[in-house]
Amino acid sequence: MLQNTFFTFTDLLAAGNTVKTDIKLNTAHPIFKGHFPEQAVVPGVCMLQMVKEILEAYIKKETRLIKAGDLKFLSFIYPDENKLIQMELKITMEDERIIADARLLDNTTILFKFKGIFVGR
Amino acid sequence: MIISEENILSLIPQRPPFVMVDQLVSCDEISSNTTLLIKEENVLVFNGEFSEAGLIENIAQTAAAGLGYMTQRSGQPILTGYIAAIKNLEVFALPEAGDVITTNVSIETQIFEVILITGSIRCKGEVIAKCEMKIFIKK
Repeated sequence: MLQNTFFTFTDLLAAGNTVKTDIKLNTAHPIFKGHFPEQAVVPGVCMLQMVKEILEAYIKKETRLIKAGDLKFLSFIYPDENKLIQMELKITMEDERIIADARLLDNTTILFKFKGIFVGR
Repeated sequence: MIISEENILSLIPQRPPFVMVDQLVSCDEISSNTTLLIKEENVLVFNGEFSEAGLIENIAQTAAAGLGYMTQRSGQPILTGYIAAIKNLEVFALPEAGDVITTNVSIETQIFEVILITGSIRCKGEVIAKCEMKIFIKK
């Protein structure tokens, strides 16, 4: 898990089927030494992993991502200890499938958009 | 094998612990093939399994290694690429620590600094993941 090493998040706030939380990144995490040495940038795949871990924290179940139709990385995220970014995650349960529609935001600027299907395990 | 694990860093901008390819097996203008031994200490291995995030990064770095090889051969410096979008991702299984994965990337189109690729990963003979990816090259 990247939770508590790479990033931390505040208590999950749920309204209807949407969950919101604020994320803080740990600039000292070793990933940032390799991505990239001259300039730390949050790897796109770590944004996806954060969606998965926040989803799992909310539904209290481990999952596997089986499909993702559309992921868009709209802006670089430079890790900053003094800054919070926001995640909004809409969850729809459909039989065995957990459909997640998520975005990462810096206040009103959308940084990352995710649509994917998970299954419990 | 054309580029070994010792020399893979000459082709890609990523550095440990965020290197998700070991060897470049073959490469031409259109396609590249890499291998990766999944190690327990890999930063994208969780509970002994290489995560979905790891699989996607492995496809992106297979593209980077192929592009790096071709640019190095033409005497140009290695450029940094970023994933701009991913489409039609399917993950059928997650490899475990100790497994070796082999990855194929094909360049579909390249328009200036935007490259569209398709990638697929095999483990023990089976396709375990595939996706399309749009990569933005920062010049």
